Amino acid sequence: MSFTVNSKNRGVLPRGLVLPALLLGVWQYLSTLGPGYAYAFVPLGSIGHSLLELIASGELPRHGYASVGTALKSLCIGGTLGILLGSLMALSRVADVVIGPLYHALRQVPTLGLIPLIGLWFGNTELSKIVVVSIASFEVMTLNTYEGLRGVENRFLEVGRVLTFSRAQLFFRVLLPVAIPSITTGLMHAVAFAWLATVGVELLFTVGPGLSVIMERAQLAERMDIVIICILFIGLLGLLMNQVCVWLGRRLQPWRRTQ
Amino acid sequence: MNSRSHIASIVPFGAKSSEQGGVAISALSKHYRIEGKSLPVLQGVDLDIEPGEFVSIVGPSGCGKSTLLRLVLGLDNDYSGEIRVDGERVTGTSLDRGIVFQDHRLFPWMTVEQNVALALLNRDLPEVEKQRRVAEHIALVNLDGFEKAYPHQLSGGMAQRAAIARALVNEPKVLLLDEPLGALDALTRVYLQNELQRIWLRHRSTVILVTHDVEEAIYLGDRVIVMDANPGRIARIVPVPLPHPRDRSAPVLRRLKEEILGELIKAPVLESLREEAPPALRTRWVW
Amino acid sequence: MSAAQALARARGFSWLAKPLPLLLLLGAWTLATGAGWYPRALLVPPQQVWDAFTEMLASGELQEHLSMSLHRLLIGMMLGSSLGLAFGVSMALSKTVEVYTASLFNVLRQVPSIALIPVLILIFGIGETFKVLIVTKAAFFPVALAAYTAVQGIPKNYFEVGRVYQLPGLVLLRRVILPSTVPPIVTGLRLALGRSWGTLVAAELLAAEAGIGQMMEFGRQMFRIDVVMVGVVITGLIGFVLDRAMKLVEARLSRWRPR
Repeated sequence: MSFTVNSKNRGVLPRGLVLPALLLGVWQYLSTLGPGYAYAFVPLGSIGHSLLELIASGELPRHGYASVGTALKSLCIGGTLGILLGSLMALSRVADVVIGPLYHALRQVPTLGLIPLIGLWFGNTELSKIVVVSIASFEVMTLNTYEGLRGVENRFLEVGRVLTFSRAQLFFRVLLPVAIPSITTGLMHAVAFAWLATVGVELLFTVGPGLSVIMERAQLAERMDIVIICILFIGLLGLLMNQVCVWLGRRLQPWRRTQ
Repeated sequence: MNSRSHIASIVPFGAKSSEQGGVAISALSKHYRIEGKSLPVLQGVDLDIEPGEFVSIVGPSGCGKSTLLRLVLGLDNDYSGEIRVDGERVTGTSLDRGIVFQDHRLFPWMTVEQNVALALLNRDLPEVEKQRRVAEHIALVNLDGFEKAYPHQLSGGMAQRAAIARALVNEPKVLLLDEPLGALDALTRVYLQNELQRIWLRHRSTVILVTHDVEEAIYLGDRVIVMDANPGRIARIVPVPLPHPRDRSAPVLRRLKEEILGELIKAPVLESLREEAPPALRTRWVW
Repeated sequence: MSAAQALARARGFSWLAKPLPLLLLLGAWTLATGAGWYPRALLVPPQQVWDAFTEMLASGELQEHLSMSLHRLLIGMMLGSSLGLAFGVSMALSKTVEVYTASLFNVLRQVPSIALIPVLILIFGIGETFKVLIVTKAAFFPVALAAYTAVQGIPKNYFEVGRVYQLPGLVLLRRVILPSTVPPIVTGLRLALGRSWGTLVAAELLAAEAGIGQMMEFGRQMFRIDVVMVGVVITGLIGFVLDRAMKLVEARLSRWRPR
């Protein structure tokens, strides 16, 4: 479920900014209290300075691009496989019986917990990163597709049967359209989880370009300002990708009643 | 008495004159198996329906009237006995038999036009002819102008009309109606009952209407089949000897309604009360 | 419940239904290693994993790691849930709070918990604190969201009924408000628990002295695949048990709800 806290009052934007502005103010104040504080609460000015530096040198765009790339590549692989397996398990009793138990058992393991295992199998490489994030996307997509297709109401299928639809027609003209909302929601969740997994693998397999890779290095070098910048961009990019999914969902369902 | 004699007196509005759409049901029985026990849903139903006849079925809940419809439709093939349409056994769904459900079941991702056209998907007709038929039937149910609307934009009555158009666009031999007006408000119901009568008189397919509204059953049907529950079976068949189109206020309709309601309301408890009542009260039909 | 379990149940083997997925998995695993489909380095036979398991159990190592992880999980969950509950409820009850905090809440929600690991390490060092705080963050948002939705979702007519019957405030709270909000909040707790467990394992992979995650990471560095597998199985098992327990609580509390 993707629910956002909504306030429909006018002037909500300025009021929503009050608290963050206040927090920033406190932060800035703390940074002036002494070198010990400045270590943790890096002055906003120096953060801004580092930010410009990173952008200008092309570092930030490069790493950001790499992280998004990893996430998207894995989403394509894992997402497609997920839709396939989810559909298979939902439509074929045989598949559900044979593969189902295995899938549900493996699902219990937290995906990031598989990182050491994948690391042993594929080494500290780009491949390992893609494998883990693909698994993450795969898990979410399979579940959502499976539940989306299983939830197709019998009454629509009956209409199809009355109209003498063949199995193929039932699938493409009834099942699929009904399952689309679930699949697009699944995509949204898959994107969020894939992004999270990307952060995780980059922190653990510190190889190759990536936002969290430089974040990890910055942490080791005790560069709080860079760490904060990375956090900001991780959040921003995640938000961006989420919005793209929401937009995509709306495009695929023109018949949705407008709220 | 030949309850079908009045059909000949009806004025056909350019209707198809084929002798198609006769339904013959004999010794129809069905039971469900729940936790090892067998629950009879229908038992020994015998019914012969003439082509072009409008038959209404009423009965208490659990009498199997909806199940009967689904069996004639071919959605369910697990039964004993025989169901034949024009002499051929029913072994599955067919475009010759259409249905309108209580919930319109229009596909929400398609427009009205697309929904109606969907029924013609497996019909081997040129595209032009299909489009013509779709337009014709949308006009028949007075929904012209709403072809491009999505179901969620329609009122309940309008959506049901679209469902009727979808069921009719194939010009089926047999049209089944499963409490089609049950989910609508009273005014819309009256309006649609009139519409159903008008449309049926145009097409003259055989119609089997299942409804819990006795008045509706009598107003529309040539015969009213009163069913009983536990197990589901036909209790009585009441002919409605009135030519179409009908006047709602005709006295014979009122009398038939009371008669049928009396049949339905009859219950063991009330029967015993009737026995104990003073003679003067016993004659009232309300028992 | 998968079709296989349903099948087992129907045939009278209901005692087999629960462990069936795991048994099938175990069977497949033994088969794969026994048949020599994979080189020893990649997949070790179950027997070896079992030996590693019993060895660590005997030396008390496993219990130590497990208790550390669960300890952190518990404290983090308690902190995160109570804060989340308080915050979610106050957001639902007070328009002011909602307007001022909604935007910040939504933005922070977008940042994956593990992305905060470097920051927290910089501030709090590689100790217990940062792990507990990570779990707190992971638990906070789902619970806050669930609490907000639950309180917002109390039908207004309930209060009207209360007024009609002039129910005193406490009775209204206990008999009306609580029962209608508890089920969705418990669902939120279940989701938070699942997420927290995953986040904790990832955090322990990065930096910890003890804990299941650390055990797995250490196993990876020592190329002890059997140790890693023990970790994988244990994390999966614990995740499953926790989820199941919460589902039972949920079911118990939601008996009155329409399905």
